This record gives sequence, structure tokens and C-alpha cells, in this order.
Amino acid sequence: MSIDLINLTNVIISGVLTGLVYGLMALGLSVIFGVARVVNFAHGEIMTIAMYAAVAAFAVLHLDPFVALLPIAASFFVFGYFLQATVIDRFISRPQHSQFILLLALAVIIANGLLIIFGADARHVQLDYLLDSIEVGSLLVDRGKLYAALVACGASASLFAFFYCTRTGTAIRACADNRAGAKVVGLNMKRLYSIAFGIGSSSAATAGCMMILLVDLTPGAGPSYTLLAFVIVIVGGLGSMSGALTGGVLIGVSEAVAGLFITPSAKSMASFALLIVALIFRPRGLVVRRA
Amino acid sequence: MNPLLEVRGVSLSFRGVRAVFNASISVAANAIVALIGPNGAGKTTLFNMIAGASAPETGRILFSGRTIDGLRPAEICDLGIARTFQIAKPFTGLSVLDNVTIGALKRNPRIDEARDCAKEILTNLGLGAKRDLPASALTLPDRKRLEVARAIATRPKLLLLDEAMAGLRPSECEAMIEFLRGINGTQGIAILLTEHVMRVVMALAQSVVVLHQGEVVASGTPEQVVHEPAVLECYLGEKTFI
Amino acid sequence: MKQRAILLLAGLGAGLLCLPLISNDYVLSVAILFLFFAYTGQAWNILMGFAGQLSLGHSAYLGLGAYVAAATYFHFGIGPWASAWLSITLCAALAGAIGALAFRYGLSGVHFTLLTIAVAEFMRIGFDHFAWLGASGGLFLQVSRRDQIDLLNLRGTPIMFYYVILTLAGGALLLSAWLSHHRTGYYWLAIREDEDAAQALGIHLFRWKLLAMMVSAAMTSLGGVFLAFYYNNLFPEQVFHISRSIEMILGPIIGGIGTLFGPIVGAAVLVLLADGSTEILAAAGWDVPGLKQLIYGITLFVAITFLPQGVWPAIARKLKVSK
Repeated sequence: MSIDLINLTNVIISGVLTGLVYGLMALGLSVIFGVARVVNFAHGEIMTIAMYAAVAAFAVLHLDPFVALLPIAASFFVFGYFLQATVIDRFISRPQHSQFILLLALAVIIANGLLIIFGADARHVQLDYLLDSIEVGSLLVDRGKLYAALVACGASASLFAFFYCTRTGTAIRACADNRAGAKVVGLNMKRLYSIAFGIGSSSAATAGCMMILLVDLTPGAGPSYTLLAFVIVIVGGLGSMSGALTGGVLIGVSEAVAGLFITPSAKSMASFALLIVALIFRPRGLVVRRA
Repeated sequence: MNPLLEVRGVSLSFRGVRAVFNASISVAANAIVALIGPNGAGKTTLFNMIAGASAPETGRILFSGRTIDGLRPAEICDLGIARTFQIAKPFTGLSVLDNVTIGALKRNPRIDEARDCAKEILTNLGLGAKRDLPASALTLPDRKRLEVARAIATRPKLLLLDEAMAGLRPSECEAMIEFLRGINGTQGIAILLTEHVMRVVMALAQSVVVLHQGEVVASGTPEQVVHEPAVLECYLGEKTFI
Repeated sequence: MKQRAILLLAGLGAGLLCLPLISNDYVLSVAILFLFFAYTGQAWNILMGFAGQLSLGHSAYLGLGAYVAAATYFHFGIGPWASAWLSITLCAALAGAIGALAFRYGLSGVHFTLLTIAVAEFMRIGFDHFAWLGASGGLFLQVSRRDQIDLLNLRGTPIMFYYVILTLAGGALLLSAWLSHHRTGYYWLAIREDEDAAQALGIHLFRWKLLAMMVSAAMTSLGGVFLAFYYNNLFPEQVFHISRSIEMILGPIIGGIGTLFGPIVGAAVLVLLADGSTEILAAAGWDVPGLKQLIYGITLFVAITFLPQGVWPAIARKLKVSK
């Protein structure tokens, strides 16, 4: 194989792995929108708080993010649950743009709160055992990305298990598929919405704990992740779980490959172009949902 | 003489369910035609096709000889067809007067003229005293009247009324019937209405079309239609002895 | 009631006209910021308050307008009065393109808003790499002499800039007032309230929504031109950033979307609150970056949760000048 092809394959693999982490984050957004019909414009910010939590856990308690992610994910579930139940729920009957602006306000508060508390310096979590790469034939796989992707897969798998194998999960899916029907059957919508938001926040938080191993963290990171999550979810299909993961991998790969051919700092333009195209041609996403 | 509105063999299905099948209706200029049938018969779907909100899968719709099926609602209004909605859709954030003024702006682009026209219509419909109230403050019967007022303000040649009498008290019904007769007589506006209140149908309509499960099962004068076995069957579900 | 309104307005107008005579440079700069937000708020309000379309990407027009004017001055020496026309045209064209795509394909609600955000972000990153316009390093306009007034090239004292933005804000108010008494305004309100009912009354959604997009964008672009010549430096990271879009919507949301004076009142509340508190805290020794934006966020949260109609309608009732 020529060097260019190996290089390209390495980049694609890297993109797939990062994309799986993106996918987990987007999965959270998809659950929140699919079930509670909330356009969570603070999704990236929730992930960013989790990233700072992981940094703090590592710096102060010397906790590995792989370990810290369990308490972090749990506490973010609680956070998301109560956020929906107390604040966002009031906006259920209000016009959609009000809800959008509410979450925008929360995003601004969180982002600047983080800036004030942690300062503008970039943070990173460096784990020594992740510094090397695994060789698979002539291909190189970054160990950090691989482990992060594995965790993301595991988290996604447990989410699928929850939604398809448990009663509450099935109730939530019913609620998303047929709102009126769910009410008729007597499901407690408010509780289900809150659970959905909790799950969504938890996913974002887990993705954040993994992301901190891959990138540097600044307080202003939130909006880019929120937008990325939306790109993925729109491309993959708003409300579709498998679509979120597929979309995540697609975006991860296209960003990585774009980074090869155009200036790396401009690679997110590819994502936005993809979003614009997706919004125009398939606002419901590329993954077809069976009716 | 060519009819004003001609619906020829239109059909529409939603996800495999036949809403309307091979329906044909004609409305002469200046006529009042009633469309009746049990709930779910396809009356509103037919209205939506005429008004441009849905496009028929088969058939043609002609207005003054011109094909209008497939046109958008705003274009249909341009041509002179106005409609009301079964569940009234007032502009709740605006006043009653503003609601009707917006309708009047279609033919009177100047605000002051449109507003004057709107005031007149509201007075004729008995809503004159309430014209500065926000539309959200109106009772259901008043909202229905507002729907009609707004539609009339666009100076249509044909008015599509979707259950305009639902929820009105008998005296309000009478007033509405008088009003509709009036605009039909003096302004020559043709009316195609759907109704469940048979008294209204008998009082207003010159001809009646009966729709059942999406198909036209009978048409004629009110007296003729009321005695047709097919019509009784579709309402009562079985043959009855007359 | 109408006389009261006119009197109040006249009083406000007179006050604003005389302000530079009694204030120092600092107060003037705050006043300029207030008028800038009042102006851009009116511009955004045209699309949201009238036509009901939520755009969170208005920074695209601010930035494009700013860069076009700045670039023509920087590279060709053409003054802003001429290049403003180019800014307006290009921004209206951009808005027209976005609107045409969005409304042709039936994008509304969250999809439309996301499209506007995506376009602004796309431009932010794009301009970051646009070398001819300075890329991420920024574009700098020469500040020759701050004491000489050169109105033609918008070079001069803060007082000059104050009157320029005051004129723009006043013009925006007049335009909004005129539109609200014209068929255009009524049709936009109908579209905002209920698109189906509006269509049934003969309102062609596509062309009226497109018009709102383009008018709003054109107005915003002039704000960008002002920005370029007032601050004399432009960075894509700042002018196209979503924070600018958020700042533009704060005034109308706090004051009252869809009202004539809402954006102005809201801008005043915002600037007093945010700048006021950061000033007080700075005087106490706490100069914290991000504090002002945090206050913006909290204000936005409080406004949207507890005062969805904005503060102006309540104030108007108290002053007995409603509408």
C-alpha cells in the first residue's frame, strides 16, 4: 500500500473513533428532542461542564476520567432531570421560539460561568498510558481514541438496551412515537420527559469525559459542540438513535478527511456545509424511520 | 351556462386511506350548495382540495373555466375563493378589527380603506361593538363570525364555509342565515357550505350534495335528497321504511 | 392617549439630541452602545416581531456589512457612504438566498433557526481564512485624527458617531412605525400569527417572508458598517460570533418582541444593567472577563421566563400610552 493510502486510512479510523464519541453526545440530543421535543441549545455547554468536572476530578482527586465518568454521568442525570422538571417544563405550552431562547440563555450563563470560575486557559487531561499508538499491521490507532470510542460504544449499547429492553425505556419510546396515544394510555409525560432529559445530559457528560482525553478544553467550547450535535442529528435524523451514531461517525470521518485536504482550522466548514445541504434536502435526516 | 366551480372526479388518499374518491360537484354562480355527510365523510378534505391546501391525486377542479387544482391557497384567494376553517383560526394576538382588515387588504391595499371596509362588515355581522377587543377574548360563536367576516372581506366570488354554524345558538344561527342570504342576494357571492345542522341546510341550500366515505352518494334539491334511501342509510346505517 | 405618546417621544428625542452636551466620553460611549443595540434590535425585530421567523444568525449580516465597507475603504479608499450601498445589496442578497432556500423547502421553526446559525458560523470560519480581508489577524482601519470630523469617511469624534447612530436608530424607529401602518406590517403580523389563515386570505407566504428577511438583513448591515468605522478593527471571531447574534436579540426580547418601542426600551435596560453592574464591580476591584456576558445571559433568562411579553407593554400600560 502506498503511504498516502495508509495515511488516509489512519485518518479515517481516527475519524470513526472520534465520531463515535460525537455520536454519543448527539445521541443525548436526539433523545431529548425526540422525547421531550426540547431543542437543547445548551447541550454543548452541558458537555463542557462535564469536561471541566473531569479535569477537576483528575487534578484534585487524581481520578482517571474512565473512573470519574461514573459519578459524573450519574450526577448529570440528576441535573438534567431536575432542569427539565423545574425550569424547562414551564415552557411546554409556550411557542417554540421561547423554549429555544430559554436554552440559549442557559447556555450563555453556563459558558460565562465556566469562564469566570476556571479562567480562559486551555485545560487537558493527560494519561500516560494513553500516549502511545497501537499498531495494526501498517496502520496506527491512537490508544486514547480507541479507548474513548470503546467507552462511547459501551454507553450507546447500554442506552439501546435501556430503550428496547426495559419498561421505562419502552414507555419513553412510545411517548416519542405517539404523544397523544401515550397520554391516553396513562403514561406520566412529565416524568418521562425529565428522564429523557436526564439521559440526554448524562450522555453528553459521558461523551465529555471521553472528549477531554482527545482535545484541549476552553470555556467557549460549548457552542461548537452544540452545533456539531445538531449537524449530526439533522444529518442522521432528529429523534433517531441509530441515526445519531451513524451521523456522528459520518461527521467524524468527514471532518478528519477534510482536515487532510483543507486547513485543519477550516474543517468544521465541511460540517456546516453538510448541515446546510441536509437541512435543505432532508430535514428529517438521512436515516429513514419506518412509519 | 357554465358553473362557477366545477369539481370533476377528484380523489385523495392519506397513507392508503381513501379520504375522497371520484367526487364531482358543481356550484353555479350565485348559488348556495350544501355538502353534507356523516363525520369522516371527506367534506373538509374536499374543501381543502378546492382551497388549495391539498392537491387532488386525480381529477380536475375548475373555477370560472380555469383549472385551479394544484394552485396554492393564496393564489386561490386571488382568483376569488375564500374559505373558513372548521376550527376557527383567528389571529389571536391582534384585534378583531385588525383581523378583518387583513382580509380586506386583499382588494383594498390602502390601510384606511381596508379598515373602513372591515368596520362595515363587522357591523353587518353584529361584531361592531367588539371590534377593538383582542381576538383571543372572543367566545366561540363570535370567533366563527369573525372567520366569516374575514373571509368575506376578501370579496370572494365563492365562499367555502366549513361548519360555520357549529356551536351557535338558534338565534345566532338565524342571524347568520340571514346574513348569508343577504350577501348571496345583494353581492352575488356563491356559497358552498358543509353543515351538520339540517335546519340550516334546508333553509339556505338550493342544492345538496351528500358525501359518504369519500364518495358522492346523492345530489339534488334538499327535498329530494332527504328522501333518498342511500342518504338515510349512510346516516342511520340501515334501510328504513318510509 | 396618542398625544401623551407623542409628547413622551418628543421628550425622549430632545433628551437624546442634547445628551452629548452634558456627558463625558464614557457616558457617550455607553449611549452609543445603547443606540447601537436599539438599532440592530429594531432590524432583527422586523423579522421576528413582525414575520415571526427566529433568526439566530444575524451576525452574518453584521459581519458581512462591516467587512464590505471596511474592505472597500482599506483597499480602494472608497468612503462608507458609497460602500454602504454595496453592504446593503450583498446582505439583502445573502438573506434572499437563505430565505429562498429555506422557504422553498418549507423550513421553519428549529430547522430555519439552525440554518441561520450555520450560515453565520460558516462565514465566521470562512472569513477567518480570508487573507485579503486580514483573516483571523483582523482588518484595521486607519485612525487618523480623532478630533477632526470627516463625516464623509466616518472619521471623527465620538460625538459624530453618536449622532450617526442616533440618526440610524431614529430612522429604524420611523421605518418600523411606517411598516406597522402599512399593508406590509399587517401581512407580516398575519404570517406570524397563523400561516394557514394568512394564506387563506391571499397572503403569498414566500414573497412576504422573503421581503422581511431582506429588509431585516439590509438594516443590520448598516449596523455593521457603523461598527467597522467606529471600532476601526474587525475580527471574524468577534463580528461573526454567535454572541453578536445573541446581543442583537436581547433588546427586543427584554423590551417586547413585535412592539415598536420594545427594542429601544430593552436596549436601555440591557446596557444599564450590564454595563452598569460591570462598572460598579470594576470600581470595587472586580474586573472579571465574562461577567457582562453572564449578566446578559441571566437577564435573557429572567426576561424569557417571567416577562415573555417584555417590559415595554407593562410600562406602556402604566404610562397610559399602550401601543
